[in-house]
Amino acid sequence: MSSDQRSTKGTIVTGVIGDDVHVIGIRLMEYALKQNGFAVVSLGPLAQQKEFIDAAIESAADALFVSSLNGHAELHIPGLRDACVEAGIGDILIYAGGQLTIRRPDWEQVRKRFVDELGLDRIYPPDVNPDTPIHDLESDIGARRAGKSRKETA
Amino acid sequence: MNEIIRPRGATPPLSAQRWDDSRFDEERAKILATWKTGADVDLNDAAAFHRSRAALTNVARKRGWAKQTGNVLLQPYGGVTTLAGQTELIRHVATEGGADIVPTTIDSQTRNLKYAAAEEALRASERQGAELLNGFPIVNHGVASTRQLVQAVDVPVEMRIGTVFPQLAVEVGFAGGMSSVTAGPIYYTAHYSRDTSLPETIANWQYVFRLIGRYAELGVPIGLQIHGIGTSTPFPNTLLGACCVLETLIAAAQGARSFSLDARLMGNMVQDVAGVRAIREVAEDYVCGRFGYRDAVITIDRKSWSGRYPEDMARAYGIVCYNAMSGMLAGANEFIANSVQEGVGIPLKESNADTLKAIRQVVGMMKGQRAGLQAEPVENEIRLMKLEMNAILDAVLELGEGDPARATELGFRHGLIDIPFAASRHCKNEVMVARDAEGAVRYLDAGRIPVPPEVLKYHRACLERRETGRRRKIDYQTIVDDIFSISRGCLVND
Repeated sequence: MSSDQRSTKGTIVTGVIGDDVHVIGIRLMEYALKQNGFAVVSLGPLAQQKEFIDAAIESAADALFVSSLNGHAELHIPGLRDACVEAGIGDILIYAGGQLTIRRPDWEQVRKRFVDELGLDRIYPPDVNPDTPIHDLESDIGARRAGKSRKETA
Repeated sequence: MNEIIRPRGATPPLSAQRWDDSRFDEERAKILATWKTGADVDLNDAAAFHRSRAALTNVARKRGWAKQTGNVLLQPYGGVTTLAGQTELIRHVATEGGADIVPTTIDSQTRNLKYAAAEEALRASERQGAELLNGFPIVNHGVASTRQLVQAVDVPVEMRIGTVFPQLAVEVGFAGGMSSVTAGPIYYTAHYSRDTSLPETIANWQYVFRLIGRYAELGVPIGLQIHGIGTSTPFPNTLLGACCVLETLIAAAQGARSFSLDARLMGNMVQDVAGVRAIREVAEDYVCGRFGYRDAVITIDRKSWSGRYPEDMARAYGIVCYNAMSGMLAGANEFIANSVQEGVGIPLKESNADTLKAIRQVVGMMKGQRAGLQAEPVENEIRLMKLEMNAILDAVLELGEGDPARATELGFRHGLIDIPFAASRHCKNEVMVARDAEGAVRYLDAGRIPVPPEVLKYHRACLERRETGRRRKIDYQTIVDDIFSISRGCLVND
């Protein structure tokens, strides 16, 4: 596992989940995250749910970036949110990107499955520009930190 | 996972030093006991078998002969499950295809030490008359069957095995008469594993290199095809060259002396020609010169593009032709040839169309590259590549206090050796590349690789020229487009 200095902008655990070895997408995403000042804890290919969670706890991460291109995300992502809740990091941001399903159903259907049913925060198709999730991440982390400090001062 | 049988024990600290005989013999007893066919491996008997065969059925001798006589060798890829199937395959590529060296690729169950699963698949293949594995399960076949295989052809056999655990398979292969293996520790750590550490892989491969040393002591030269480093995306051949030198030095310290070093095709003619020549010069300088292995025989094989190919076989012929052209212009000694799966009995009209498409592919890739045939850009590229390889090698060897094994481990740990899009967690993955306007691979970000300022400046200028030319910055989409451009038919598609 390679990790960098903890960044005030946020720490992200990245990996290709399950039985997938396609690293091009996640490596580009990691590169873009680092360029934008985030700290990255990289799990690489064949990463299991437990590895994501252990790394997130160890690095006090703000988000998990889960990549999958071989269509097996439906086999490996269910249960990830519950496992985070059980591990005491239930409110961590979870983004997923890539070819998440074997067939290519309507994107709204994919979103419903992964966001509404499986509890992910955001999902992205394989050809997304890395700037898009980074922009979303900045506003999500910003909103959470603002929310937290409001709670603390209240 | 419980099938994996990995001999364990206290490992001596990482060093390139030649293994003590006691260390090797102890390790060897453990390795040969990990599967029943290990009992049939006998070094003296194996050396006698090798010596009983004609000189040019030996890979190391054949490469040496070709280098001396100026012959260019051709080797395809290939490996199937059964002895009958593999025999038919190597006979066909040798007699019909004219291969000078024939391959035997080992299946991935064997590469991951899952011999019981390989055994099951081998028996099922034999029963069903099918080929169920993605290669030849050599450990299960054992020494006698492997000897039957190598005796089926009068050309030498190279074992091709992508693994961090090569020991037992290589023992059976060499005892069975195979006289070379694809290596080594850097390539297979970076590309074929995620967690396995460099010290572990280096020790596992040092075992193979010491075994080669033992064969040499018995009068049997055994070859190595050295991969260095590489992925299925564009990357600078300088990284491959520097890692080839480190792998060669690690192997030479144990007694290996025959090395065919890869130089990979990236698609820009200047760089593809320069890569072969620069890697040869730097390797000879470090291995034969600075480290004093004057009897080492170094040849360069032109490896074709390792990324995605067009699905259309006819277009794949275009890549094959371009690859051949670049290797010949550069003076490569051997071609390791990716197949386009030529069929037989193609009707005339399809055949005509295919020919045109093959030419089209070459035209697409060579467009704007006439400079590739001019001496000045090639010589300049060679100079810059050598500067860069020297800088990387000198920096890591300094870190490792002159020990190439420690230099390798520390080089990766500190990011001085890195490559884009590696699978391994031991690569920093801080380096990013893009193609310039002519398709040459340039550093967009060299990470912590000690690329000399002059080289970096040149790379930046090349990339800026592309940006100016197309009036658009090189962005993430450009990096992705550059990875798949060859399969789409044009090296640079702005």
